[in-house]
Amino acid sequence: MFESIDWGIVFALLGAALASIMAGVGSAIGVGKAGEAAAGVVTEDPSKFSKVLIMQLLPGTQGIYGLLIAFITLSQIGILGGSAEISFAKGLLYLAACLPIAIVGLLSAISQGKAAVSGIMMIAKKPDQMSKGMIFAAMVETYAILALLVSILAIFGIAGLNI
Amino acid sequence: MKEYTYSVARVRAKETALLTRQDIDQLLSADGYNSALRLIRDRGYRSQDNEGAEEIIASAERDLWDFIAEIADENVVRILRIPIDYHNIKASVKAAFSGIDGHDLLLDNGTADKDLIYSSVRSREYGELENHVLERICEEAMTLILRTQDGQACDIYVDNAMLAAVENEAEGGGDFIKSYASLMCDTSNLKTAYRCAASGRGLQFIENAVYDGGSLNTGELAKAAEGGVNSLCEYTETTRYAELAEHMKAGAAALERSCDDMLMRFMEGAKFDSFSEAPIIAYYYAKRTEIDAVRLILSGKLNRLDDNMIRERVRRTYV
Repeated sequence: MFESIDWGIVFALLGAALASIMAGVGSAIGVGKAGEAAAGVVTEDPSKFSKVLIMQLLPGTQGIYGLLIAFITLSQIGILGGSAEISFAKGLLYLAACLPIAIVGLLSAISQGKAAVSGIMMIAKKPDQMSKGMIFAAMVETYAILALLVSILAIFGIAGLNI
Repeated sequence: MKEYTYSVARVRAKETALLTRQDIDQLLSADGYNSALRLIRDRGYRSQDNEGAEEIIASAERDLWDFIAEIADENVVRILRIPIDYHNIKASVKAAFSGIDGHDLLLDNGTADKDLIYSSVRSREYGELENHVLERICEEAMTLILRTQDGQACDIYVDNAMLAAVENEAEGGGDFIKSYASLMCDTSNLKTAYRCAASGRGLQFIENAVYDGGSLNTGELAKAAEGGVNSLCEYTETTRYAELAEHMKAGAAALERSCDDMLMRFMEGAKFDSFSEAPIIAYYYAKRTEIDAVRLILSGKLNRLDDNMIRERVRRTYV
C-alpha cells in the first residue's frame, strides 16, 4: 500500500514538524528552567519581577524560529494551499533544510536557559548588573540565528531547483 | 541528578542579607553591648524591642532551619542535621554521667528528637529512639564513660561515630557533599592529632582517637603526631593541608580558626553553581558561621571583653 504514497511531501512535512517540535521543546525547557529561578528570586524579593521576567523570556525565541521555519516550509510545499506535489529528492532536501534550526534550536535554547538562570541569580545579588546578565544569555542567541538563516536560505533555494 | 534551581535562586536572594566582613568589623567596633545590639537589629536580625541577644539569636537559628527545610530535600538536609544528633548524645551522656541537668545544652533540628535522646540516655532504654545507629552509639558512649570514667574518650568515640555517619550519608550525595564530608574528616583528624601531639599521647591512643576515613593516611598521621607538634607540622606540610602547618605552630585556637576558614573557602566554591545542592549547604554554613560570630561578639560586648580578643575568634565570612 506504501507504493502509492508520494514520499516527497511526507519528508518535507516531517522537516517542518521537526523544526517546530525540537526548537519548541528546547525553548520550553529553557524558559522552564529560567522560570524556576525567577520564581525563587521573586519569592524572596517580589520587586524584581519585571527584571527576571525579561531574562526568563530570552530562551523562548528558538521556539519562534522553529515556528517560522515550519510555516515557510508548509507554504513552500503547498500544504497551506496550492499543489502539494513534491518530488522525493525535494522532500528530502526540505527535511535537510529544516534540520539546522531543529537541532541548534533545541540545544541552544537549553544552553540559553542555563545562562538565563545564572543571569537571574546575578540579578538577585546585583540588580544593577541586569544588562550584563542579558548580554551573556543573548550571546547564545547568535547560534540560533545562524541556524535560522541557513534554514531560511536553504528552503528558499530548494524552490528554484529543478529536481 | 536533581536540580535545585528554584532553591538556589532563593538562596542567592537571601545571600544579599548576609553580613559582610565590613559589617562584622562595624559590629566589633561598636561602642558597647547596646550599640552592637542596635546594629545587629538594623541588619535584619528579627526581634521585638524587649528581646535580648539570646532571643534574637534563637530566632535567627529557627529562621535558618525553617528556610533550609523549606528549600531542600531531607536527604540534603540530613548531612547538616547529623552533627546535631551527636552533639546531643555527647551532652546527654555527660549530663547523665555527672548527674546534672544538661537539658539546656541540647540543640534542636537533629534527625532525632533531642528530648528522646536525653530521656533514653537517662533511662538507659534506647529502643525509643527508633534509629538503630543512634541507639547503639548512645549505649556504647554511656557504657564507655561509665567503664573508663574518661569524658575525653567518650567524646572521641562519639565524634568518630559522627564522622562515620556523615561519610556514610555523603556516599549517596553529589561531589560537593562528598568533598565536604572528606574535608570535615580531614580537618577533624588534624585537630585531634594536634591535641594528642600537644599533650604527648602515645601511638596507640592516637591511632584510636583518629577517625579512619577522609583523604589522609591516618596511620602516617598518628605516627607523626606521636613525635610531637613539630613532627606533625612536618607531616602536614607534605599533605594538601600544608597551609595548616603554619597555624599549628601558633596553637590550638589558630588551628581551629584556620580549619573553619578552610571549610568556608571550600563553601565559597558554591558561589559559581546555579543548579546543585551546593549553594544550599554553603548558605547554611555561611549563616551558621554568621550567627556564631554575632553570638560571640554580643556576649563579648556584654562581658566587656577586649575587642581584639573577640576579633581573633571571629571566623571568615562567606560574602
